[in-house]
Amino acid sequence: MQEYFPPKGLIIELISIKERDRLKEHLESVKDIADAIFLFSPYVGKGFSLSLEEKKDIVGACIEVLQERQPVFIFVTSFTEEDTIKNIREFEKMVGSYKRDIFWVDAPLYYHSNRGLPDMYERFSSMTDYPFILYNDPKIVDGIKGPFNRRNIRTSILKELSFLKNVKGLIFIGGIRRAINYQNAVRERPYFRIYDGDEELYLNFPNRNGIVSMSANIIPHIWKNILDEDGEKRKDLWIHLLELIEILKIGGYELIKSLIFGKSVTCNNSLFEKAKEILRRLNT
Amino acid sequence: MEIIDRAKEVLRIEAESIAALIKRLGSDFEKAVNIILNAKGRVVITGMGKSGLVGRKIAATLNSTGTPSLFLHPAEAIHGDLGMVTKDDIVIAISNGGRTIEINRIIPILKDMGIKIIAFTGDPTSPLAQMSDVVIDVGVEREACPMGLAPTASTTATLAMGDALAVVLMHCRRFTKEDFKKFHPGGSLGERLASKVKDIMRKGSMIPMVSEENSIQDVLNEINKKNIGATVVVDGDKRLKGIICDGDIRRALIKHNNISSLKARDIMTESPKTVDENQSAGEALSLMEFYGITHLVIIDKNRRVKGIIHLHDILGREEFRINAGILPSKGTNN
Repeated sequence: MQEYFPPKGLIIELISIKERDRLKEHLESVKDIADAIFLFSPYVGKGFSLSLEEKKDIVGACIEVLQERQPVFIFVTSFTEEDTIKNIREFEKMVGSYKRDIFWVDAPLYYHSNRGLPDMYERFSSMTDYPFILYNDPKIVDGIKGPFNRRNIRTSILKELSFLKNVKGLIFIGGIRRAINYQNAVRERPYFRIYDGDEELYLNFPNRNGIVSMSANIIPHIWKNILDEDGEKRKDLWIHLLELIEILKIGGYELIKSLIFGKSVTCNNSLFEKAKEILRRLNT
Repeated sequence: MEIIDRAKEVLRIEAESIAALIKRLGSDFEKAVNIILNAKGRVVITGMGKSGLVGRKIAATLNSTGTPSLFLHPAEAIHGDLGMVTKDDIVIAISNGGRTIEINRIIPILKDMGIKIIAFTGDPTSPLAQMSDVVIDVGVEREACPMGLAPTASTTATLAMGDALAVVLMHCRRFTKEDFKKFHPGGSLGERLASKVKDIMRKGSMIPMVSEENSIQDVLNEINKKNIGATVVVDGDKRLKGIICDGDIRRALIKHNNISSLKARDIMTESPKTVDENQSAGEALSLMEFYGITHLVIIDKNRRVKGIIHLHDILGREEFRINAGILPSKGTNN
């Protein structure tokens, strides 16, 4: 299989909707704006709570709608290395005929320590043809690690990983200092992409590789404008976007879904109204 | 505290953006240097907005380090300024995204003229990069300003790359300190204006000096010998009595049919302008400008002469030579 590189730009963390028609309808509305689609993100996609069968349904619908036009990032991490491999194998069966790029997104510290990570990905290279994008988020590791375990991929380990042929990038969530250290570590690999997984970090210190965006489910065109440097009104957008992101973080999956398909009974009414008001401002 | 923390982050990002350029320097940079070294013309720099401001600074740096350069505004270029560019020139086009319409519009025209294009861009796959002969990657991983509203790290990186280019070219041409001074009269002048009068005045036997009783012949000899167009006139205790400069002799010649019988006291200007030795050269220059004179005498509290200073001691003869270089040469009608 030929070597390919992850795209730059807007990676939409697709909200995982179990209803197939709604999912396809939503995908249709964002697919032409996104540079890649990210499935089962731990935050907006209920990535951990969906069963493998449910996930396979979503992958199937996604492949059907995208029709090989966009690269797809698939979050594969599970509670153990074995389960993660199992996920990869199952998904690989489904995406085998998809002629665009597929990337496995993996949060290795969820089931593994820093020690031996490069060896583990060397082993993975013999199990799958598709490359990996690492996922570094101390928060998702927080609940399952002991007090003395590291919650971030060590910078020196990242440097080693960046030299592996099947590791192509990293979705980064964390502070700006670590972000700079990580950039520094992978400097010798110009095609190794570091995406911001935190919209707030991106809005304050935009990087050149791109953003993994949750709010792009609702306002993909606004994000695209920002990334395309096509923003006369960027200063206003910045303030409203930060406000929206804050509300979406509190409202979570239910709020995002309500903003896309109309308010559901489980969605907090005041958050919904606030978000609608910000969206009005963003769209004018 | 948040203010300082934020400022630190910005500086870290900017520092990192420059450090990251080091790894990316390679054969393209060498190619750019060779193209400029072999060019018969000038380096024309173009860029819009903040890139334009950076371009102007790079042009200034190139000029002062021995590489003739000028800035071309891409929008003005379309409206006629392209005429400034000759086929012997090299163009450096600066655009972080490489998609600036105004720049990309003039590049094909420049290429048609046979001009080599060097792109300074953050996107080596951009249209600008594709049209250019050499691409210098000045991309940064991260901007230090929200949403990249104002380019920050990217302009810093571009500026630093411009400096690297200018300095490397300077070394390749073996541009010396003397050359640098020649192109920076303002720099050496600034240094001189800040110095004290006592540091640059003529002292001791360097001071042209005659007594009131000396003949005109003695005065002329002294002026001729000390070569600053004037002599001070003193009494027996070397107390300042007056000054005789070229103008005083000219006026005496007009006034008297025969000046050979005159004494120094007959033609001297009494109470010449003086300056304290601890005043700055800049202040001395202001006095000369105010009174329309070219000499000032330095005396002590008893009015004894300690030194003399001429306009050239402040401004330096070298600057006048450089300026002379741009005056019309002999035989021209200008």
